[in-house]
Amino acid sequence: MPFYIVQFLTGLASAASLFLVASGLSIIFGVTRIVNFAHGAFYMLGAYVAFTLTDRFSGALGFWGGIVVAALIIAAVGVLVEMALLRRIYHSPELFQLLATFGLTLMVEDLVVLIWGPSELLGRRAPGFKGAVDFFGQNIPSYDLFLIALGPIVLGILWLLFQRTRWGVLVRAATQDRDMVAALGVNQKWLFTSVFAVGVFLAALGGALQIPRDAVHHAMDLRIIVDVFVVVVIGGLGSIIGAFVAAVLVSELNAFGILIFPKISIILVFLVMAAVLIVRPWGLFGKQEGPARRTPGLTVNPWRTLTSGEQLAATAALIIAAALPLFSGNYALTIGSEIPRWRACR
Amino acid sequence: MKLSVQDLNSHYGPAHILFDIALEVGDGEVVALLGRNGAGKSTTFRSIIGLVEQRSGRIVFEGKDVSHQPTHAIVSRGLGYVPEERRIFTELTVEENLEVGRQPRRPNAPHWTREKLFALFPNLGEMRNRPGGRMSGGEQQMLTIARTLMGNPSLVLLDEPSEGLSPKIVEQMVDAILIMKKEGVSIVVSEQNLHFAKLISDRAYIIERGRICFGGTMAELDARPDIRDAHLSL
Amino acid sequence: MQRRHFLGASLAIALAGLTNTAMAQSEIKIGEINSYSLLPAFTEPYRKGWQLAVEEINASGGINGKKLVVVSKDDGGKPADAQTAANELVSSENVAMLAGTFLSNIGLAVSDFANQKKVFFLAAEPLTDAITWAKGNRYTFRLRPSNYMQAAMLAEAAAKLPAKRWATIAPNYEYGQSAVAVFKKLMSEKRPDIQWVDEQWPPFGKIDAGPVVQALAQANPEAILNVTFGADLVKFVREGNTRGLFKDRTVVSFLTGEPEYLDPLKEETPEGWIVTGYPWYSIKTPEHDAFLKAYQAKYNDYPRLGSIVGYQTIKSAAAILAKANSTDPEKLIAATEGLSVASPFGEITFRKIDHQSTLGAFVGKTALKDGKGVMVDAVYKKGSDYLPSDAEVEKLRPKE
Ligand SMILES: Nc1ncnc2c1ncn2[C@@H]1O[C@H](COP(=O)(O)OP(=O)(O)OP(=O)(O)O)[C@@H](O)[C@H]1O
Ligand SMILES: [Mg+2]
Repeated sequence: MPFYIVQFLTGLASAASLFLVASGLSIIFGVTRIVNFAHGAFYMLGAYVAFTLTDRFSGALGFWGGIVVAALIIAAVGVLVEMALLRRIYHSPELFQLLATFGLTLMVEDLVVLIWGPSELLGRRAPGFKGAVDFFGQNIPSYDLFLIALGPIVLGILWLLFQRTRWGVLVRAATQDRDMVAALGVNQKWLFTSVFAVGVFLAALGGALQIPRDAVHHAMDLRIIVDVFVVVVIGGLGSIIGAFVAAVLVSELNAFGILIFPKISIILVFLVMAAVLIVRPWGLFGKQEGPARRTPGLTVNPWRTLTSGEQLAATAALIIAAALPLFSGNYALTIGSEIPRWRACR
Repeated sequence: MKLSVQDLNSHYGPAHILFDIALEVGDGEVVALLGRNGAGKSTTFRSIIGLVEQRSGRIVFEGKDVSHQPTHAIVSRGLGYVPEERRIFTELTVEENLEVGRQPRRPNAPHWTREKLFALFPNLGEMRNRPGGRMSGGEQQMLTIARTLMGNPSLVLLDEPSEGLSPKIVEQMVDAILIMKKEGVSIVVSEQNLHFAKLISDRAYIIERGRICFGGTMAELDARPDIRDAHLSL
Repeated sequence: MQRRHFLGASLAIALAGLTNTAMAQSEIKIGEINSYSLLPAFTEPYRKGWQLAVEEINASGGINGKKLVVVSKDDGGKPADAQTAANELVSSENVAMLAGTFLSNIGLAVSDFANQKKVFFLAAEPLTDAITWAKGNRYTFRLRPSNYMQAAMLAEAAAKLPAKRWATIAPNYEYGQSAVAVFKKLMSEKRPDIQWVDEQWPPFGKIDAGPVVQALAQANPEAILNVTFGADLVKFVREGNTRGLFKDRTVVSFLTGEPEYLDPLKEETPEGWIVTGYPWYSIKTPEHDAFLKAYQAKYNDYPRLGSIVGYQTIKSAAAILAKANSTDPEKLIAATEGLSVASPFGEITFRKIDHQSTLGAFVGKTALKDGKGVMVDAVYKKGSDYLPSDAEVEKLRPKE
């Protein structure tokens, strides 16, 4: 019996990070209607930056401060991405948005290998949570207990943020009818940017919190994004509580699945997802999607044409790329020639 | 002069809807915009606050040209808009709906608080925590006006406030609009209901197929039954 | 405006391509495929290894006077992409042979391609036994010691352990399945008293280490066979350390002594695991010294096992091309069968019987030294000593 309890707790611990990342994705989708494929990339960047910061600054403050600061830094990066890329594609077809954010993911993957090298990195263990606690002869890592507590705490904070602050009210209103929010004098641009920042912060925090138990490496993003999509589909896009319940469900299915079907535990999760989709196509906690309320007459070009300054910058970047063979080594050349292609062949 | 619109032309895609609309609203005035279904009343309002992308012309609000500003910027200058479809946030409670509309106090416009609005629309005060989706049409209409007033506007564009309401609620609506006027809010109200318009308005414009074809005081309109019969279906 | 720049850039690329074909008469091309973007921890040192080899070969006159050129492609970890890349290399680059690959499933995919298109293929890394045995074919040779060979090396040491209750953990794909199967078979032959009490099959790259470790501990084995590597291994080791899984248990582990997998473990390196690997710091042979010196001089970095594999793949390929003095696949096969080549680990031979090279591996124990994982008591095991008898091999390989 203690074994099953510990297995259950272990599942809960795995659910924590999954929940953080999934809730971020859900929040962003709710307001901006963007399915942000790059969410996994922000998760990974959170882990990498946290690795560097916690490595540089010692002590408990260095560790916990490093985790939080890493998430903040990546949230700031998210703000830049939102302003430079997403603002242009809010009204584009979904496929286009997926492609753009997927392209971003591939670039980030190359970037982390360039910056941090190709090897897996071993993050610091959390001060005060290094060992395991004995539970009737079974060991449960104390860091897992920390994560188990963290999940509901973050859920509670998010609930307060969305129910008890003006920002939360505006976000919920915009989730339903963005144009009406604008017609009441609210600048949606900044609302969207701030929502994106919060979503990215959650993803990066989810990644940063993994460094004491995971390997920091360049494929973390794709690994998590699949799970996160599953969680969000089961829980219902746009629902934070749904993300929580589904994260727990998926993690527990994993934890117990390996005991019964060690070879196909991963399939189990997809079976459950299929079952949920049949019974509730919009997810356990999702709401049936009404037709999005749009204001007639507001049509926006998918590609806002670049301003002259931006054209200049884009041209300069291309010229530099074209001139790369002249002054850089072979390696930079291969990487350089792959970046503009966004490695479509993967 | 509160608001002046000149040469306003609007399109939905290839369709040219508004043709050289010109209208003016004085300080503290209530002006009616009358016209049949599809005449272009709602489009005029949407164009004024920038919700129609393809529009040209000059829109001057409180002496400032706002023709090229985005919707939120125009609205936060104190030009409130109450849409015909009401567009209540159904997931949000009455209080939260009001919160979305809240804007800072403005020196040249009456200041509305939650309590003041609950006094104006007593029904709302009794359902502060009810989600917008579970209110009757009349209650939603009151909420959408109250929500716009939370922005402390000096001018409100009211799109067919009496549409689909029972006579009793229409009476309440008349009272509310008169109180707003008394407080000093300028109002443009679009209507098909001439009787309702007469109860509240100082002046009227008639719009027909996207063109203004009459402008004058209510007394002048009363004196021209020919115009009334030609352009309004009563 | 932007389009014009793209045009310019593509023109430049096309021009570069033209000059390439003009030079083609005096070159020999090898088409190389690997999972560069998916597994950079292995493939970066691997790339450095083969680049060093190309440099050395061309510095000493190339292949019978012709310059050696390696055209390299990324398969992104996908068998289908690897086959596409192989097709491109053969049909538009006119390469004399294919080489490379890391993952077993990809190695098999390219080997299948080679067989169908009658192209010579030198598999560098994929370890599955199938590539030379059950699914072996005329056109495919393999450099690295196979799962069977490494299992045999490990089983030799493992059979001496008192442990009777064994559990296994391996990534759930061709390589992991093949490694566990052959280790179990060899162990059960040597030690009929052994019991297999649990097996864990985490999906490759996606281990959920907590529950897996807990499940292994619950089965209470006396010893564990590990086949996970890379990020999975790091997570497995961390959870195992925290939950005390390795306390009083022996672990026998494929590949863990290779620097690409051992180094990331740093101070969490578990001690006393019996592993195969590459202790570059303690190999003292003239062949290896020469390689180490050249590698460190060029890259200012120490070699990983991938460096050896990359280096030796191209060195072997060059020897094959030089001996065949032709790019005809049949002549290449004839040249390779029975060919002996020098390597940093000593001379190796490509066996005629199953196209497996006799490159060996080091077996030793993991230890912690100055906060870093190292391999100690490492002994080089020659590949030729850990292969089944010719009669058995005949049975394993399909008739042509
Ligand atoms: N989204 C749209 N796309 C194209 N045409 C539209 C759109 N919305 C309205 N129209 C057309 O524009 C014209 C003016 O419509 P508008 O809604 O402004 O009329 P209205 O005077 O408000 O009518 P009602 O009294 O029915 O509300 C109508 O002919 C209508 O068909
Ligand atoms: Mg209308």
